[in-house]
Amino acid sequence: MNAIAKDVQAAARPPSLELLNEVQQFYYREARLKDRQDYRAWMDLLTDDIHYWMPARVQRFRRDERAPCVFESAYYNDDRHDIDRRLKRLETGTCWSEDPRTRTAHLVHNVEVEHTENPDEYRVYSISVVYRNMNEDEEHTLYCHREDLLRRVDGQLRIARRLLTVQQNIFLSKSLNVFP
Amino acid sequence: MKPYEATQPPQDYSRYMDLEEGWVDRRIFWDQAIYERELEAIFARCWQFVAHESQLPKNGDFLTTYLGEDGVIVSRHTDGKVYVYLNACPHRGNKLCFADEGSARRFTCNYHGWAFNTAGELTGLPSEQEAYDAGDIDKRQWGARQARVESYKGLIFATFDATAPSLEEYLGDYRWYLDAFVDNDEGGIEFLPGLIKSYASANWKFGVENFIGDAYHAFWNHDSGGKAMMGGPFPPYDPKDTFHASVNGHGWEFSLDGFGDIAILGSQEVLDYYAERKAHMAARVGELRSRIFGSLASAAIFPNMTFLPGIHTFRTWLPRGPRKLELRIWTVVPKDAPQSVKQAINKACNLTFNPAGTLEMDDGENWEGNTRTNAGWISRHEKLHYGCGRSRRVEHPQLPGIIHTGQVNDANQRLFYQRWADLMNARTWADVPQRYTPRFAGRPTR
Amino acid sequence: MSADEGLDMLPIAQHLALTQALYREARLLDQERYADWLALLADDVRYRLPLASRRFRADRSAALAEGPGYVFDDDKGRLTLRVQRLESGLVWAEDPRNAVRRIVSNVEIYRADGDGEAVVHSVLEIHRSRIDAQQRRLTAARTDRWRDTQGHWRLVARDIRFDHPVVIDSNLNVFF
Repeated sequence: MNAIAKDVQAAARPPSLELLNEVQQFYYREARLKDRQDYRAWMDLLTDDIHYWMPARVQRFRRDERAPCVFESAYYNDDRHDIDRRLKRLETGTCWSEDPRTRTAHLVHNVEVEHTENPDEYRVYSISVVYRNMNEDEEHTLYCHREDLLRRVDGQLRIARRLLTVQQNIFLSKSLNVFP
Repeated sequence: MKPYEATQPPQDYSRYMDLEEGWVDRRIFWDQAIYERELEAIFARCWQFVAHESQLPKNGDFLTTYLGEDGVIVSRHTDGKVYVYLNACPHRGNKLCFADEGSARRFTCNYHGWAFNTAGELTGLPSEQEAYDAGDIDKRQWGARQARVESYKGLIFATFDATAPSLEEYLGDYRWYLDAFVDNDEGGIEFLPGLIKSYASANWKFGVENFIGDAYHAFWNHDSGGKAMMGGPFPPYDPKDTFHASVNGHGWEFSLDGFGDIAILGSQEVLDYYAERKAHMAARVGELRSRIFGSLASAAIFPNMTFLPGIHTFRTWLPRGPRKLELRIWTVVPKDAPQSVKQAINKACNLTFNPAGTLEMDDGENWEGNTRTNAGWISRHEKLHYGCGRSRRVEHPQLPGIIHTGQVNDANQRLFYQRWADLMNARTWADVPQRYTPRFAGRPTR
Repeated sequence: MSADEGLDMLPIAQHLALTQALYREARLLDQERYADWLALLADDVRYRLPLASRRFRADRSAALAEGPGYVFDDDKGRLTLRVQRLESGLVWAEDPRNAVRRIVSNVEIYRADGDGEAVVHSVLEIHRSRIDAQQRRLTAARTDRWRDTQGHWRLVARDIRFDHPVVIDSNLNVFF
C-alpha cells in the first residue's frame, strides 16, 4: 500500500457534526425498525437500486486470497425484488420458524463517514452487531464489518449499497434471519 | 500402509428400528456410543463425496474437508491426479492445512516444518541431516495416510476402507438417476466458487433423510418460502406419477413434472433456459429422465451428501458429534449455460437454500427440535413413525432400484435406516447384504 | 500520563475528527493495513501494554499496578519491527488470516496540556474468529494521547489495560 489510500486521505475532510449526527440517527432508526421487525418501513430506507451483499467467507492462504465476487456464493446478494421476497415470506402467516418471533438487538458501532465525489453520496464504514435470542435459550451474536454507500434522495438518506463482511468462518447458527 | 482392523459390532443395531412396522428408535439421533460406532462403521467405511472436478481445475489446487470427523486434504498433484489424505502431520498430529481451499505446491506443518507434496508424501524434514541419524526415519513410510479416490462424472469420492467395493458398485444403479442431473448435457455441471459452512445443533441423519425422501414437509413447512418465491403456494400434492427410488441406501424422491423445483427459484430466465433444453436432454438421457430432472424432487447419496437437482444446491452434512452437524453448501450450474443463466441460478439458489435462505431458514429449526427433545429420558426412548407408504412398493419397467409410488412416503427414509443398520451390524463389507437387484451392474447408465 | 488531566473538552469539530480517527484506526488494524496504521502514529509514539498481575487488594505494591513488566513497551521502531514480522509471510498461525472486529466504545476526549494534544480514554472490544469455529472476545481499556498535526490526529502514547490476566487465546498477535 504505497499511495495514501482513499479512506485515509478522506481524513483531511472530516464530516460535519450535522452530517455525522444525521448518519448516526439514521442508523439508530434503521436498527430500531429491524428490532421491531417493521421491515416494510425498513425497506423504505433502501434505494430502488439497492445491492445488499454478504459474500460467503472462504479461508484461503494469504498468498492466494481473492476478493469476494458477486458471481459466487453469498448469504445475501439481493436486489430490491429479492428483499421483497424475503419480506413476503415473513408476511404469509405460515412462517413457522419465526413464530414465536426472534428477539433481536441491532447495534451500530464505529461509524465513520466519508465524503465521496458525488455530493449526495457518502461512504460509511461501521461495525454491525446483532444479538439474537431464539426459542427458549438460544443466543447468537453476529459481528460484521459494514461498508455502505448512503445516498440523499429527496433530502433523505437512503442505503444504496451495503457490503457486509461476516466474521465467522463457519456460520455458527442454523439460520441467518436478520439483516445486519 | 496397513489397513485398520475392523472391530466387532458392539451391539445389534437392528433393534433400534422395525421397518416392517415402520418405526425408528430416537436414541440413534442422540446416543454418544452409537455415534462412535457410526464413525467407524459408516464414515471410516463408505465412499463420501469430497469434491467436484471443477473445484480443482489445475495441478496444485486443493481443498480441505472431512470424512466423518477425519479431516482430509483433497489436492490435484503434479501428475494431474487427485489425492485424498489425512489433514494431519504424522509427526505430532497437528493439522497440516488450515485453509479451506486454494493452490499450493506443498503443505508444511506449522509445528516443526515437515513438508508434504500435493500427493501427501513426506518430502522434507527441516535439518534432516543434522537432526536425524541414518535409520531414524524412512520418509516413504511416513506420508499422510491415503484414502482411495474414485470419481463418477466429475464427482470425486473417497474412502479410507481398502476393502470397500468400487465406487461404481457402491453407487450401483443410482448412477442412472445421477445422470439426470450431472450428465444431462455435454458440458455437465460445475461448482460455482464459494462455500458456505454452518453449524446446526442437530443429528446429521436428520439433514440427510430430509433430502433423501421428504417431499412431505415442503407443502407445510415451506409454504411461506414457496409463496415468497413462486408468488403462490405449492400445487396440492398429487401422488400420480411420483416416486421414491432407493439404491444401497441412496435415495431420490421425484415427480415427473419436469419443472417443480426449478420454479422455486422464481426466475423466468432459468425456467426458459430449461424449457429450451428439455428436448436435447431427452435425446441424451431419455424422455423419462429429462422429466425427472427439474421436477419437485430431492436426493441423497449415503451417507451424507445431498442435493436438489432443479434448485441446484449441493451439500454435505458433516457429523460433529451426535447432536451437532456442519453443513457445507455449494451452488451447481450447467457448465455450458450462458453466464446470465448461471448468475440467475446462483442468486436464486442462495436466496432459497443457505442459512439465510427463504426455504432453508425453516428447516434448521425442525432438525434442531428433532434432536434436542431427546434430552428428555422419556422422549429419547420413544419411537418415531416411519410407516408412510409401506405397501406401495412396485416393480417399474424403466426405473431401477427399489421403487415406491407416491413421493410423500417414508420409503427412502426406511431404506436409508436399513442401510445404516446393515453397516452398523457388519464387521466387514462381506456382511453387508445387497438389498436390490441391479440392472446396470458392470455397464454404464447412459 | 495521568488519567486525571483536566476535563476541558475540545471544540466539537476537533472532537469529532479525533473520534473518526479512532474508528479509522480500528478499521485499518482489522484490515491489517499496517502501513496506513503506522502512518497514524507520531514519530515519538510510546505504545505500552503492561503485564497484568493478580494481587490482593491489600497489597500496597499495587502502586506497581502496571505489573512487573510489559507485553508491549514499544517505540515506533519496535512497532515497525512487529509489523515487518506480521508481514513477513512467515507467521504461520496467522495464515489464513483471522477475522477481527475492533469496537471502540466509551470515548472520552479532553484537552491535554501539551501543544495541540488530547487525552483519550476508550474501551476496546475485540472479536476475533480464528481457525474453523474458534471465537474469542477480548476487552481492554486504553488511555491515549493524540496530537493534532495540521488537521491530522497522530497517536503519541497509548497505555493499554488488558482485562485478561491469562491470555485466553492461543496467541496475542493483535494490536490494541
